Amino acid sequence: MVLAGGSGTRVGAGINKAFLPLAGRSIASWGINTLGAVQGVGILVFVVRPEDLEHARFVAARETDRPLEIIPGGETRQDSELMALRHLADRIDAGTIDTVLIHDAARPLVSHGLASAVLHAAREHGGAVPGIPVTGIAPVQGADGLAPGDPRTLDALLRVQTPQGFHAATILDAYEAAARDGFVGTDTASCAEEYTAAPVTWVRGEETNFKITYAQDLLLAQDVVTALGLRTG
Amino acid sequence: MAIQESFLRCTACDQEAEHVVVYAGRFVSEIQCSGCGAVTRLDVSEDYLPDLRQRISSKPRRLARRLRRDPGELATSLPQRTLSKPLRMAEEFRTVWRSRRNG
Repeated sequence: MVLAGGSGTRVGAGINKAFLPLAGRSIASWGINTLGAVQGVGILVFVVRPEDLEHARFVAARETDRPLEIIPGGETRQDSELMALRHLADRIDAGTIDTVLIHDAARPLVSHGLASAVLHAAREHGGAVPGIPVTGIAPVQGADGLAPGDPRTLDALLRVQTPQGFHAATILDAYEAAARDGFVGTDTASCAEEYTAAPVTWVRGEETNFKITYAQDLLLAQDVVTALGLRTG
Repeated sequence: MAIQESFLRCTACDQEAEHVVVYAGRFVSEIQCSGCGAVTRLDVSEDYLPDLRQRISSKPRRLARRLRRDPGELATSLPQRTLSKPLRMAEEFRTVWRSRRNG
């Protein structure tokens, strides 16, 4: 599932950043097409704000050859994930879907290799998250309380990316339980860790799989697309 | 030339603000933060022509794909798009030229 529910959305804003063009097609469509081409990925669910449904239909009609199931998301990322999981619940219960990959639409440059690795690791372990070990930073006393001499080592810190992969039935149960308890996690993995016993492993992420957050990220993504010779058709 | 507006974080003022993104063909040629006014301009002229060639060469395939998927939509939109194409291309060339001058 690809989430564009809360990407760059504020009152009065023009377009959700997930639908900004990047080298000829929307940012969201890059990730959709990459995930859709990964062996083992069957159903693609695109979760968008209700007001973005028209944009989403354009993506489905013009920017991908893969069938997209478009659903409106919730107020928060976690609500959107829950709605997408509920949308798939029948097929998860029937065993048609064994694993889900949850991807942020604002990360257009995810590679086939990374998505495949996450899918494989999620099937092996129950849960998998791509991350890049944090290096070249110094610990300071801050809100997280990580100070020099802290027994928790910086080697254990990761910059987490998407797609995050999970055993489908397990993550559906976890999200339903979180909804009942009113638990709000920081990302999919935090909800999985809180409500399941399934181990969440990590696979090495990619520097090019960055999230479009800053305006300059759009230019960087454009440079990467040009440098890698990625064509949009 | 196409202009889009979207909320992004500004590299200059580090605030989330509406940004005006100007495109020359498939390339971003200018981004302006509506909050602090910071502008980034790029010279896209070098990449533009090879990309334009690619766009032209892939046009028949893209049109055929649209025809297969939704002939009605293509039939209704194509005449107007064809008529407005020269003007849109002229605007695109102007944007590329501006990006060359200012980038």
